[in-house]
Amino acid sequence: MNRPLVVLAFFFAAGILAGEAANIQSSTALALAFFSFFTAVTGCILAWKENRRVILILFFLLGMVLARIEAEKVETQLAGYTGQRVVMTGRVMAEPDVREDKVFYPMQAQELIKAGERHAVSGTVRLQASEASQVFAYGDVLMASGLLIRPEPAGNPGGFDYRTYLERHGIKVVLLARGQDAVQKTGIGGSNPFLNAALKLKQKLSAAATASLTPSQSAVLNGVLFGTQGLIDRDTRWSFQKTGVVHILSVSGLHVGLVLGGIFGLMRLLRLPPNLTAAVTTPALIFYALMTGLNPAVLRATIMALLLVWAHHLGRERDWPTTLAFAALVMLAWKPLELFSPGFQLSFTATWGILYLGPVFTGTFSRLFKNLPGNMALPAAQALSIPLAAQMAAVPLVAWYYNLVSLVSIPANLLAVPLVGLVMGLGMFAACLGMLWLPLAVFINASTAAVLDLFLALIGIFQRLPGAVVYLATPPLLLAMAWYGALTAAAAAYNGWRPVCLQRLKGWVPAGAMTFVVVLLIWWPWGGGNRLTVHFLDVGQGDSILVQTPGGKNMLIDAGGRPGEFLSGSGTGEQVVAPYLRSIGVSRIDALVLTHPHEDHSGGAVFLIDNFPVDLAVVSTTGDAGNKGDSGVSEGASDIPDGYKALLDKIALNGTPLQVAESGDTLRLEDGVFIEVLAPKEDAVQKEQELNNISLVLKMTYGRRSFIFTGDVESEAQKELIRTDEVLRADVLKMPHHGSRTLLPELLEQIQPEVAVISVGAHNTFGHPSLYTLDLLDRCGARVYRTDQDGAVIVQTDGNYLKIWTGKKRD
Amino acid sequence: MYSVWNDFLNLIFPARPFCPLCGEHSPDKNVCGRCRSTLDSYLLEHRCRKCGRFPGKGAVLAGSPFEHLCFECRKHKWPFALARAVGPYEGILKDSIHRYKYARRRVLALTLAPLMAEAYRAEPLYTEIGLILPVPLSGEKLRDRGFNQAALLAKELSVLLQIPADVRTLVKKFETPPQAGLPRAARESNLKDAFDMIKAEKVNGKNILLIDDVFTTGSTLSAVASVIRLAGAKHVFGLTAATGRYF
Repeated sequence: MNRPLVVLAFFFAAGILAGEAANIQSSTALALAFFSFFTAVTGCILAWKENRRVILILFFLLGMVLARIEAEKVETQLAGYTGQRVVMTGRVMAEPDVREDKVFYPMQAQELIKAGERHAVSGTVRLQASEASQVFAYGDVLMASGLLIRPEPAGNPGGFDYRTYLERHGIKVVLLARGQDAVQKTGIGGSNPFLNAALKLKQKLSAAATASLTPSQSAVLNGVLFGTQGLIDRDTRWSFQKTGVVHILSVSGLHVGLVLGGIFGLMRLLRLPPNLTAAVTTPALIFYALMTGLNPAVLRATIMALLLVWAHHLGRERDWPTTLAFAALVMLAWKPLELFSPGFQLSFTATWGILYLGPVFTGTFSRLFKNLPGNMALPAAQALSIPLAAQMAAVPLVAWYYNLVSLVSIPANLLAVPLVGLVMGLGMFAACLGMLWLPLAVFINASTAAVLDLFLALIGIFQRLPGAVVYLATPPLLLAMAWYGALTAAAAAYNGWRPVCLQRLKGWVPAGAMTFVVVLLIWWPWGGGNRLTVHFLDVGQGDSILVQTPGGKNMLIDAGGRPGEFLSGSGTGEQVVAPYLRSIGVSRIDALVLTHPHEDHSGGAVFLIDNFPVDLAVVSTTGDAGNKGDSGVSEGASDIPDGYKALLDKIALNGTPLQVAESGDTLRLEDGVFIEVLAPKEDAVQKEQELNNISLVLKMTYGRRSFIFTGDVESEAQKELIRTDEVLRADVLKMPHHGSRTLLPELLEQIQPEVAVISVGAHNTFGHPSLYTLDLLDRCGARVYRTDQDGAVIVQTDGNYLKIWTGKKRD
Repeated sequence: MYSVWNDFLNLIFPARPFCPLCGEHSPDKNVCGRCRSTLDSYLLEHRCRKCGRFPGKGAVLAGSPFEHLCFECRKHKWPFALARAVGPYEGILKDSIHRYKYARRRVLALTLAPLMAEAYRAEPLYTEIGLILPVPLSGEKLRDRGFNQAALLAKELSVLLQIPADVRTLVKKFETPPQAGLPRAARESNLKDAFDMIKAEKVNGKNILLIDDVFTTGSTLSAVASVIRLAGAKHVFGLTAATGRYF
């Protein structure tokens, strides 16, 4: 092999994967690694022919050892204090992450006071300080009092897994500190002087932007210049994401390249001899990387840039696959679990794409453009091919993590990248001048602001273009692998297969084909066509249930919601329900059922209505403000939230048919799936005071299995239900009102559920679900699933058998 | 230590499967077959038995190739015993030396030095060499280029030929206008007093192998060789990567 480092890096990464998957002791792995190390040394001395295989195994084992050590390092005695209020002293071990309403400190715990007793402790904690006006610095020793918790894993499949995310960063517990005095500085601990200097400088430099620009502008500028992410608001980030230019917002390879170019320009200007280039660039780039927080993209770009500079200095030819592999090896040796971070994966695949696929596209485009005047063909081809290559390589990952593909990313990048160069140049200039005299920075930043506004306006235009973004379901692993295989093969075919490669490949063809067939057999969705799936989503306190019929129709019963979501339109709908729908490939809602007007059921619909095509909205009678006119609303429903009325208006405005349902109605989604409305009765609604009791109650039957969705009905409405002639018996019961006390035992007797699902938020203030209810359920023998403990509950049936799986494992 | 460093560099900047001289695909990363045969053909060419230069088109040749003496060498006495080169300064050699010197691809020293070692071994008249010395660069030039192309070749040759090399003994005291493009007389006066030796005792009584990248008129080599001779060396031999043609 021509590139030993590439192979070594692959084996090292494979070792890390194995270390994550296999649960062996790091000491065992270490012993194995030592053994293979000595074998390798012996082999080296004896000049053994097969020694390279030993070295490969050695790297595999090293990866495994490091991954295991990282995994074991997370374990800390602090986990024993979770759920308790403690006072903890510790050192801030990295730059704090400042958000709009809170600050995250990665803290090295030193001492813990619990009930007056002092305990010496060790381990890493994430301190979350809310409502804190003062931000402490790297290296400070803080004393914080608060609640120690373990972060929650993802509730819904594919959702953000906070627990794993933090554990991969070596953090097992989070200390929640609220209030002004909850966090106090008690001293200054040890800190790395270089890092400290870099962070101090960054703070001074970013002060110029903060002082001279609007908060949103300065957040973007400081993000672009120094990678400060916390203060950029979600909408801005999301629009960058949707236009495929999010790499601009956080410091990435592009920025390192621009900084490198800036240094070269300065050196030229100062007439420094070229053989000093490497010596000057090295500390400057390292300092910049430290300043911007050493995120994976920066680290990768810095290592690769340094190798480029030093290759030139040492008169070597640079070989990019080796450079890329070297960067990966260095980063993974330092932090093995970075392998799993999206930033690491995206940075490396995009770079691979630019370097491997880029030349192919450039070749093709420059042939297409050969009629362009002057020497424009090549630059034009390169400008197009770089973003295209990066996107082609990153598509599976972006679809995997964000469930979207931006179709405007190429034009957006073409316009944005030069502007970013301008913004960085101006911003850096202003930041440096600002350290001398602030008004100078204000002067320069007047033009920076203009460029920034133009930049953000352009992004906004691109984002609003029709078809700018396509939402994709999370791709199966096999598809992603096939994509990369096809890309590699296509590029290789374009470059012309070398006979050597072909010969080498021939040996692998049978093995590859075997693997493909095996994987296909395992993954093929055998006979998945006739199943009905009901997803009880984990939306915190609230309800949201997605029904997917065998024919692919989607019915959403409620959309969750947090307090204030009617007004703001962002919350559960945007952050939980929509991402989940997108991740499983739901792009339109055939029926949106809002059981009743409460915000924890209907709030999320505000976002969904605007972002998904909805074919039919079904609401409960009382909510029918639009059709009957103001007088038509029953007197009892005077407390209908205004937000709900606005939502109904919006639905009508969007042209979505709004259907008011009451008992006796049926909903025909698809043949074979019968959905009937059991409640409310119209006469019952008139005298009802409580909104919960006008909830739509649906019963859905498919084959021999049935589901009953009871909304929030309380005792009164339950009594009505029992009195009806309808057959209530059902296999799966969505427990009424989040499992509150107001459950009639008679209702359970009539339904006789095999499975009961309680949609409820953890630590809710209503005391849901009540012990009384749980006890009743226990006695009737139903299997109980709770979204607060199980995460999403997904029930699938072919009409005969029920298959149930959950979003997370119970603790 | 030197070879460990080189191994490390080979690991992070591995040689690509291309011929280092012409850039064509070459699976073993070494000089490709075509370049090899070009280089081999130089061995069959006539050359001056003294200065090692190759006769150009129209140069009058008489007698057997190895007895041949060029016009220059017939009327001029060199301070060095003889000089040899891998081949004439043209084609692949010229391109490579340009990339080596001006595009600063130092890695080419690893290709050129073995070729020079071959030229060295092919010449039986190199006798009992005690020390390898490179033609020095002035401090200013060294800072600018970052390396002395002759010194790198000398170090490599030292490893290949198992003869000690010293890259610090010779110094160039001041920068002279570039030799390229100057007539012979101007070249000689240009270099007058430019070179010096520190620690002259190092060369005392030894046969010295003097290394440079290109031998054009021989002015540089002879200026340095006279300095070395003055310091007490027995004989000075020249070895360069490429040499000129005479007419």
